[in-house]
Amino acid sequence: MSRELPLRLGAVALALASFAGAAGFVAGNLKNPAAPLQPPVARPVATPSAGPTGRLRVAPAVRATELPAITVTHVS
Amino acid sequence: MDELRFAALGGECELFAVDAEPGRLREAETWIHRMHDRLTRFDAASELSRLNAAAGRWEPVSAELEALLRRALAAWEESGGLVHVAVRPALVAAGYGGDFDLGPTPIAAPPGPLPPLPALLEVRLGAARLATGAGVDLGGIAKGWLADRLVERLGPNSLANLAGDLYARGPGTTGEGWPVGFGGTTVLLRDLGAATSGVTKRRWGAGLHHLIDPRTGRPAAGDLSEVSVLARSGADAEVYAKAALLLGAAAAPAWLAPRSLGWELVPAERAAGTRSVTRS
Repeated sequence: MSRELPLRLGAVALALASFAGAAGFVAGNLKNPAAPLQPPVARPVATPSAGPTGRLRVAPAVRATELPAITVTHVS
Repeated sequence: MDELRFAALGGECELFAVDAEPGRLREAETWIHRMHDRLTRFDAASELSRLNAAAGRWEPVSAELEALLRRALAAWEESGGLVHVAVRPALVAAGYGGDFDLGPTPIAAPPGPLPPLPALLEVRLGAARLATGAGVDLGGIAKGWLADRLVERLGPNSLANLAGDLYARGPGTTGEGWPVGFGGTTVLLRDLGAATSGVTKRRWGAGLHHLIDPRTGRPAAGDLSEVSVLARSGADAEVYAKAALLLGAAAAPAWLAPRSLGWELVPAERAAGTRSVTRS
């Protein structure tokens, strides 16, 4: 009995210390909700958008231009 | 910018390069002619014809043909069986047994639905084997794949358009991409491929054209006449365009959405007609 009590008290003290340490770490490392998302793949996937006719769809990542085309894809 | 135009692979080819080493475009043209001679099914001496003639046994193949055949197997897998290169018997039965410019060949009964490509084509290091009676026509998949390989030869800022299937690498002349005609508009392509699959060319009769539907073994008879696609590579674009055309107008958009960066679907009733597309 005399040897068990210190062991029990030690175990309880260790558990309490661990809990307190973890709580302190969490409190000191709160997530900033305003931080930018990383990596950028967390953004929604950009899917091709449809034109009014629905025949042509181009993803936002592909830019249109007023420049003349130097070549064109076609059936051969 | 240097540019070069020439006929090969059944159409006009165009090469563009910024700051390319002198002679690089001519070297690329020579390479394309050499690859055409090796991959055509219309020359009995070509490497592809030798493979077709050796159906039933293992035949040595070059690294390029091996890579193309592996790409074809992957295309069959990712397209759910719609992109199928073992269509030569079906093409011959439909009357496309020789060079298109020489006219149609006798029509025979279609072979019926094609077996799965892996059942007809096996590839191992440096060799391939076709099942007895099977035959390969690499068609558009070769053009897209060759365009991807060609820009590696041309340099970091170049574009190769091989009879309609293309790959644009680098910032182009604009600094933001190469201006390419796509679906009636012009888009800037940078490290992207584009391809068009359709049934409006290479026709020799009512319902007779070069695009075989492996589900029937006959020329496709869907509700689309042309599909153009943007993708991460020329080979991908070609595979997606062909699969979408065979899927039809109702199913194609959902299939393309997670794969493609853009597409145009042209309904069959507008075959060979005027385009009037609207860009979003």
